[in-house]
Amino acid sequence: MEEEESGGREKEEMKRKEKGMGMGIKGRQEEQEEGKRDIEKKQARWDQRLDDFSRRHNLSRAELRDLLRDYEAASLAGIRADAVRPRWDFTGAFYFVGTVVSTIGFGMTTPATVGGKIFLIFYGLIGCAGTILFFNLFLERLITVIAYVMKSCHERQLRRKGVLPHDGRRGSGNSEVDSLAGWKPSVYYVMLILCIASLIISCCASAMYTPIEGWSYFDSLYFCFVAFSTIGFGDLVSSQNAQYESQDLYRFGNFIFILMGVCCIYSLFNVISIVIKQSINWILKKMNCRCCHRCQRKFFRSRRNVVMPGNVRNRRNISIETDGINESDTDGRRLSGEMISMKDFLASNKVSLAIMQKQLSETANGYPRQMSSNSRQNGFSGGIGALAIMNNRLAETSVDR
Amino acid sequence: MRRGPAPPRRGRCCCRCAEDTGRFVLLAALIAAYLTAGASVFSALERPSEAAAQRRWNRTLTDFSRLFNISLPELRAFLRSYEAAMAAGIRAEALRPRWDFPGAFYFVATVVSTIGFGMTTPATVAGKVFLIIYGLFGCAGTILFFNLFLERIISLLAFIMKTCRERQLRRSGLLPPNFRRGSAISNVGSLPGWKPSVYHVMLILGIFAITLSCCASAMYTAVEGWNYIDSLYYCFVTFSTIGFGDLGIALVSEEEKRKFMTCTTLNENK
Repeated sequence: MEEEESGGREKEEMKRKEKGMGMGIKGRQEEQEEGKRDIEKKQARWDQRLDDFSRRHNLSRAELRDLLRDYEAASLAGIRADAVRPRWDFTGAFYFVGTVVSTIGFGMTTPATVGGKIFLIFYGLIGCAGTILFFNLFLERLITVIAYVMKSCHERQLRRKGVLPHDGRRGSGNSEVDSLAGWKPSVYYVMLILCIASLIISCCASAMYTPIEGWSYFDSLYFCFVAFSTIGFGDLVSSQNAQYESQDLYRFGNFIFILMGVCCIYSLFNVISIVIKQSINWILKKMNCRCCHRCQRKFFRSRRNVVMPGNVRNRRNISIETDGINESDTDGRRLSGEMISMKDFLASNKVSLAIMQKQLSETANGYPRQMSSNSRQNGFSGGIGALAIMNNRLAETSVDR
Repeated sequence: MRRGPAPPRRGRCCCRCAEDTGRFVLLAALIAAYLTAGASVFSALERPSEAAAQRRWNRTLTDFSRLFNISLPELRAFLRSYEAAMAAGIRAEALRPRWDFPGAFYFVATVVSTIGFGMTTPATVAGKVFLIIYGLFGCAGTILFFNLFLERIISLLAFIMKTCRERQLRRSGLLPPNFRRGSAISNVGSLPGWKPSVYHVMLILGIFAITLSCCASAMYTAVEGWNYIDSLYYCFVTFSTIGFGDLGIALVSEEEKRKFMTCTTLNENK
């Protein structure tokens, strides 16, 4: 078949180009010339096919050209030689709107009318914002569930060892017990759980796509990654054929898998970004340590005395973390010593104007703070994602949650 | 540790948990409703033109097949090969080579920002495997970058707005005359706990985004030759990281189609 040929030859050309890049010797001009020669070959092949067809059916070139021009106009509206599902019936439009709002954006369906494009802009603004909020809340719920489960396990363990008094009240999240006060799951643990969840979802989804769409298992995995990370190239798109066996079930499964996959991988990205931020903080600290040792020592001393009496456990965490002090608001306990700390703070040496500004805007409102002696600074102390950034920096996000 | 009278810990916790979960479920329901409404509107806007195009094409095809006595399956096979030839032709001759360093850099940028136009996609298995690993860390890092950008912007806006407000207060005489205006630290004493309203920040960010889009659209209209609404549409689709990839491809298609058809007609005239 002609298309397999041209597809295969294109792959060859791609491989050759990649090898050329690897060697690094081929000049761009050479590659372009090679490309041009390729085009001419393809052109010649296509002309041959055109010739054969017109001769066989006794057609003039002009008539064929008109047909092809009509076909081009039709393909702009999404029509193809093989039957594809209608693009703008309700389920097609729903699929399109799903890819818009999740910012995947495959591109297999795009609005052709001007009204559609304008409506898309306004619709997308609100839709994407709402969906980003949805993903962030999903991550927050997930972390709450993990924290709850791990805390109960931990409690049960401690109780069995006899550390806890038997009549200790069991609370979720705000336990009275000192050893569990302010305990939060480690970011690495959540990352591991999310990785496993993403892998399971991808493998199951690929197992569904492979028989129904006819892709190879690896291509299905590749499609899963590209779709779930919201990159959405559009070279492979699921549920595009006109007819499937058990079509409704497949479409529903497609929707559920993509939804869960995007949630998990988006959360995974956010969690990995926390790890990256901690690494950057660590690098900054190392750099600062080297060039500003005296300042740093003073800074540490003042901070230790003033702001976080209990949090100075691990030097590593006293970094230039800009939102490190911003504790999550699920544990709220106000300390009477806070007003004093602000005055002392004002008097202390400043290392960075920005850090001070931020800390003060946080402390200025008597922002509830986690002050237990055993609280751990971990990656989640600032919350996650864009929600966390705006937490307590804006008037509307300071009082309520 | 001072604690006033409060509802029992557990009760308050359960209350908060229920509130959080309720919020999440309500948001999910709202988004589902939003999707349904959006699907209906888009369907109403676009379905007529799609149906008309389909009808027109079917008529053309059947007329052609009847006129020249060619079976429909054979015609369809021919059109399929035309499709493939066009796709191969377009993809092989991009306006610039696709996998040299600048092209690959552009590709990697669309991956890492999750825009993903799709004009360039890896064809080899090794490329796809590398894409998955590379994309995992790249996307996470870029999300962090955007979040830190947001944080910096909000800090900057808060600082500017606070300064303006202070100046306003001073002018209207509400501040003591010996108020020392210096670094941000001293500001806190005068405007304790003042923070910018989210609506102000949204307005400022919105104006900034619209200005940026309009300028970018002006550039695209001039250079690429699209009309202005198409450029605005392209700006929105790209900046929101949706990244359909239709406009980029369409541009190449137009040019390539013209070249293709010209060559075909030249051959025909020979």
